[in-house]
Amino acid sequence: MTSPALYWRKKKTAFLFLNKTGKLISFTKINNPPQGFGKYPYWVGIIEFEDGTRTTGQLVLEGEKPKIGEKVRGIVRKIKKENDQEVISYGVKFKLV
Amino acid sequence: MSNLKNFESVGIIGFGGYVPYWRLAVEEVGSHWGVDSKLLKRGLGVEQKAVANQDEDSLTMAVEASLIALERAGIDPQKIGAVFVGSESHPYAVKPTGTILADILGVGNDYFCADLQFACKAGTAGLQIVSAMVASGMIEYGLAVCTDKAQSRPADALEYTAGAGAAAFILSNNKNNQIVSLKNTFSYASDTPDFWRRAREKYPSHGGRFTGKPGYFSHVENCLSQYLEKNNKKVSDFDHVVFHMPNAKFPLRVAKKFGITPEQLRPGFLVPKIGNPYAGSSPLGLVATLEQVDVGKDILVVSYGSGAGSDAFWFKTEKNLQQSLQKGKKITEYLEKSQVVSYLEYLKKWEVL
Amino acid sequence: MNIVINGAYQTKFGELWDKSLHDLMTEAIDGALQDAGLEKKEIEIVFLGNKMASQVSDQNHLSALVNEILGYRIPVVRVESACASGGVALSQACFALESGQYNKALVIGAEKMTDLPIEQISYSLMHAASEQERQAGLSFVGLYALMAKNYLQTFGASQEDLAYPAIKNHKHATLNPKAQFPFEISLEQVAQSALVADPLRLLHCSGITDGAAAVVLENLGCEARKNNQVQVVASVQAGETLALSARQSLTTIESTKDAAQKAYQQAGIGPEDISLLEVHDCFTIAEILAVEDLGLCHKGEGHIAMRNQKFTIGCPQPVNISGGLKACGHPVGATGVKQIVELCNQLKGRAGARQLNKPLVGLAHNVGGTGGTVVIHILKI
Repeated sequence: MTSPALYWRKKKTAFLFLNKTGKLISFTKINNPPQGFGKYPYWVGIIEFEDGTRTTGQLVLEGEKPKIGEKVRGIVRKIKKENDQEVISYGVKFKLV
Repeated sequence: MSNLKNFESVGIIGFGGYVPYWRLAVEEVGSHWGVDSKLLKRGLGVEQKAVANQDEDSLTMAVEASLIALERAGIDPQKIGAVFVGSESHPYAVKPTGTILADILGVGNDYFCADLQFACKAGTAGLQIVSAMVASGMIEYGLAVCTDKAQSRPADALEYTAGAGAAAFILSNNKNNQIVSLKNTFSYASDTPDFWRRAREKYPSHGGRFTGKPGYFSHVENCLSQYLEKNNKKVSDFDHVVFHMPNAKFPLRVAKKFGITPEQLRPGFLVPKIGNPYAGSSPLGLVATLEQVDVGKDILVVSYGSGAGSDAFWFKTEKNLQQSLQKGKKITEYLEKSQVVSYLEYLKKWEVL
Repeated sequence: MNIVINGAYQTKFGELWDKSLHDLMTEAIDGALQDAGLEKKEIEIVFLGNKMASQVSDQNHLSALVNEILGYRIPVVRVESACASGGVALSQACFALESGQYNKALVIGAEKMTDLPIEQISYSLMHAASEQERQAGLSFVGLYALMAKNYLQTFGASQEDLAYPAIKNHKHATLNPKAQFPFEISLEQVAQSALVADPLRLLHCSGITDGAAAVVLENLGCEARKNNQVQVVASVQAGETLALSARQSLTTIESTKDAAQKAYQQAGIGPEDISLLEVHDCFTIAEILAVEDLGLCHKGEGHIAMRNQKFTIGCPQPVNISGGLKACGHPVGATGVKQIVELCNQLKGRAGARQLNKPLVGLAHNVGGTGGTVVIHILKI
């Protein structure tokens, strides 16, 4: 369970890559989500930005299939599947552009 | 009773809209429930509704629309002095969407904020509040957001049209950087229980046909006629008109009654393609209109929120509009790229499954 | 360093429903001591490798539990380095013996995993990853899938190439009575197994296993080593960043290269001198990267060597004769110690049906997470 303090502290760095464009270094589709990530498969990738920084994040696919080297941009989405009492975790996922 | 206050210099310096990528066809819903969907489609005048993904909600869509508004406004987000978010699907019953949005946008800590609910006019109410704050000089810039990922009960009539979307407006009191000016605004309200959702309920309830005359029509028509009278204007004085669009039929009926032409409605008439994004309905209609028309156009907006009330606005497009539209994704782009899903997939995206 | 291994024992690895963590630890300790011909009270210090007892069995303070099992009060140190917990426990034991303060040490690795449902175990294994990777919902297999995908793209390997280490290790496991999966698998079976995280399929991944292993070490000091005593000639630990995204390359585990270089130096040998290897094949891609990073073949050619069965029993340098993590099983904290048990048995000529012909030097390669910790031991007879 995400404690409120954890969520609040995480916020300082959770949106660093919002609206930033980078390229996909690698990606995979998680078919068996671990606890807390719902029941449906999702895509995760490593993204590299112009200045060489890299980050890991979930991908948002709207009608396309990801490819290594493709451009992605950071957008805000819910990043977990919380239960009804938990604080909602928002974060940055990466959409193919 | 209210006074019709003409604003000297209140206007929009940036605006943006967001429509989710996925669509659910009216025919798909109808075929699931074994209903004659072709007849339904004709009756509603709606082809499909916009469906948000399971990891989207009113907040995430608010961010998308607000980022476009900020891009077009070209201001430092720290200068925003108020954030008001109107929705009937705020992620929390208690904890404001506004502060989450403000934090993500980098507004700082020095701002007025509250969440609003007034069914589909929650967002336009926010627009009025921010306008008043800007006009009074309390703030230099203010952000009003209208966003919804509407819930609808499976098999209910509203399931065909209850959609998702968001619109954001940044207002200022500075004529120099305005791209759209706001002349004045007016509201008409009454306690009319046409559509409601109790605090612990997952889905809203409504009065069926009661939502028509005593609900939508009474408030939109009264608001419109009184607004025109106070402004000493006729509908033909306006280049474009945007109504709240729960479906195509309702706004078209009002338009016919008042002699508003299809051409006046056209740029903002999004409902056939995206359904009803609730608090985002007339605001997205306004965004779409602003993105398509020339400078110097007068635009009349009349929203409607169940419970019930209507807000009216008189906007005018100014000379900086075209330049600001060089930035930010336009509504037409959202309409061009979309993908239809099955009813089952829609239930998954709405987190019913 | 003049450290020998006098006793080595491994429990059966598998879904051991009727055995608790306590049972597994007891069996391994008793087995290793019996093999060494020692009484419990002759052990002076114990190092224990375990990753997830606090999540699975609500048990921390495992050091005190070991004292209970021994029935004897001595210092016990619990070590956690994700899947390298066992190997690190051994390297710490070597330091303790080298210090001269202790002569006889027991090293045990133990893990009980099957008591929790798979989603919870999957989440628990994510504790070996970085916070950002966890927030992205990157399961452990997902992390290696990212490495695999990059490897396939960079070196023109195919998904089929990922099958060969698993096929080899299952073949080896048919000769190991302690293995979790002592049966062969075919290329078709691997290709048809469920996609877990593209490009990794179910049969590319090691399973969830219970098990324990223990060894008894002695510092001979100035005393000469007897002929049939297995000597530890290298014990090296290396580290790397926690997050995959913080590294330069997704296709090289630098910590393996670092540790290998130092280990070969310590032992005074080169990779070509190794008779057999137990490497960390949590996923088949890990074994391919391992043979490259350990210097057995060039970067990018591991998959070709695997396809050509260069490391199967019968070849000069067989890898994972025990069946590896894939087919023998991977009780996380126990693996590093079990690798040592396997090497000992081979070097001492008591490996039964899978005995190699007079092997002289064995190498154990144990990895934590995606390479955040790597520990290498080289043993000689």
